[in-house]
Amino acid sequence: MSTDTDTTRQRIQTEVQRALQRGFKGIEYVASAGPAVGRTPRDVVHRRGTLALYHYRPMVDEIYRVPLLMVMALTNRGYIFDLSPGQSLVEYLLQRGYDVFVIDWNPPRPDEAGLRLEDYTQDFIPDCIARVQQISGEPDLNLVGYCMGGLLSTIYLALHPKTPVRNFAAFTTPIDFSKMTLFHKWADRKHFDVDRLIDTTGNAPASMIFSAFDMLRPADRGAGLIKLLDNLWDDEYVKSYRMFGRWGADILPLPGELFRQVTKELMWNNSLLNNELVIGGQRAELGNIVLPVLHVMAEHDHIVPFDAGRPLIDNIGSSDKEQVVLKGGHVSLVAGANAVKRMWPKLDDWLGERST
Amino acid sequence: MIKPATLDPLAHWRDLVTQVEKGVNQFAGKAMASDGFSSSVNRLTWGPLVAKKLAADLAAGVAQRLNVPTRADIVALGERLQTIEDRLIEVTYMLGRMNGDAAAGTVGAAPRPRRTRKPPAAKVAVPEAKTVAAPKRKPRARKAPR
Repeated sequence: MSTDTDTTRQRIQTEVQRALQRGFKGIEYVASAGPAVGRTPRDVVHRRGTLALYHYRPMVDEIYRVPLLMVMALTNRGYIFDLSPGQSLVEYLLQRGYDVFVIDWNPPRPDEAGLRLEDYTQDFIPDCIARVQQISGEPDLNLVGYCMGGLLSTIYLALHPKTPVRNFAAFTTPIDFSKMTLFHKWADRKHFDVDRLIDTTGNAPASMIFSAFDMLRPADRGAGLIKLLDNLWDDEYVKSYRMFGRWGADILPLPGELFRQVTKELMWNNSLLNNELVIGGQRAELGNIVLPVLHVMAEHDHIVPFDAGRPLIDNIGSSDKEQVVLKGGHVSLVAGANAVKRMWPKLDDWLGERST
Repeated sequence: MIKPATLDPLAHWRDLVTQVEKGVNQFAGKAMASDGFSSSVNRLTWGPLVAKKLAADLAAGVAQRLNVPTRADIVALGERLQTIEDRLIEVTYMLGRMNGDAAAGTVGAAPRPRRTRKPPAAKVAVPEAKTVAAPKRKPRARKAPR
């Protein structure tokens, strides 16, 4: 009986302390800027309009021979790979002995509204690969692509069978666009006049892309705020909430022509899956990809569902290929506490033996 | 043994928030998959975009009449500056590398890491990872290029 009373008293004390902390921390939250992100030391190696190539400074004395090039999704900022010390995939890879380069994207300028898949897969990615080769002095490299970065990398590899890329790791990469559930529904040609949109706006506005992501889970923002209030006493929770919140809201516009092409070729015609996607006069056939491939997908991914990503491994010509489904969502797969113990070790395990 | 239900009202409240969140997302997901919703949302998105474009055109017209730079002019100027900055970044990086290369081997210069690392012998066990085997493919009939 006395134990029950003690427990209840302890519980009440804890809740009172937390309530007080919520008050103090709430004021601190409003008054302070969010935590700094993307702080791992790096050099901007190359910049051309929307394209930026970073080279991160090695953290160990001995690194793997084969450098690693990561391609970020076009809709978001690359600092999801480098949130904060201890929560940075880049930092983790550097500490594990990789020579890390990242392709990040700046908001496309109005004069870049004409950029198409051709520019990304036949110019930007090959250009960055050549620079990585030159800087590292190595003839080959490994490629990692996240979401739409994985899609661009896949199209690049399908177009370049004689690539210097030795291994490819994709995270949550969509291939079958008919399985992109709500996105596919909203972009239905019956209702969505992509030509009128792009002819009017030039680039696809970031606000529209943000709303589309937001609408996939309409209750998340409200519930997230309630959970934040509940956890305001917990510094780690608040830090994580702010970092992910900032990243989630930091959406980039998409080049208009690319948006038009993705909508028509991929959303409407599912051309990549059907081996009908023609880029610069050349057909991007998934069967052309014969190098070792790892595809990591998230079990609760609401943006790229499992069925949308599965055909990557099913349709490529590689004999050394592996598909892994990990617990988590589209973002928590690559960043945050779950990624640290799930995806990162898997990636290191797969890449390490292929990086010598 | 069955775990007794907790009497903690805050725990109930947290459960309720999670359940409501899941429920709303599920319900909205179904509702938003309808043709009617897609049609409405496209119409609703369209209005503000057109209004924004008209406002921008109007502002550009006024600026032109007043003989002051329009937003497009400023953006174009920014683009030119950005191009110069891009080239500067490259030149700075190359100079840094050349300097580093020249200094390599001299006393006090930071040596580049050796590219001789080997993977650890023991493999890491990843919790809760499911490897999904790819089904055997039937050869896909090739279509004529478009």
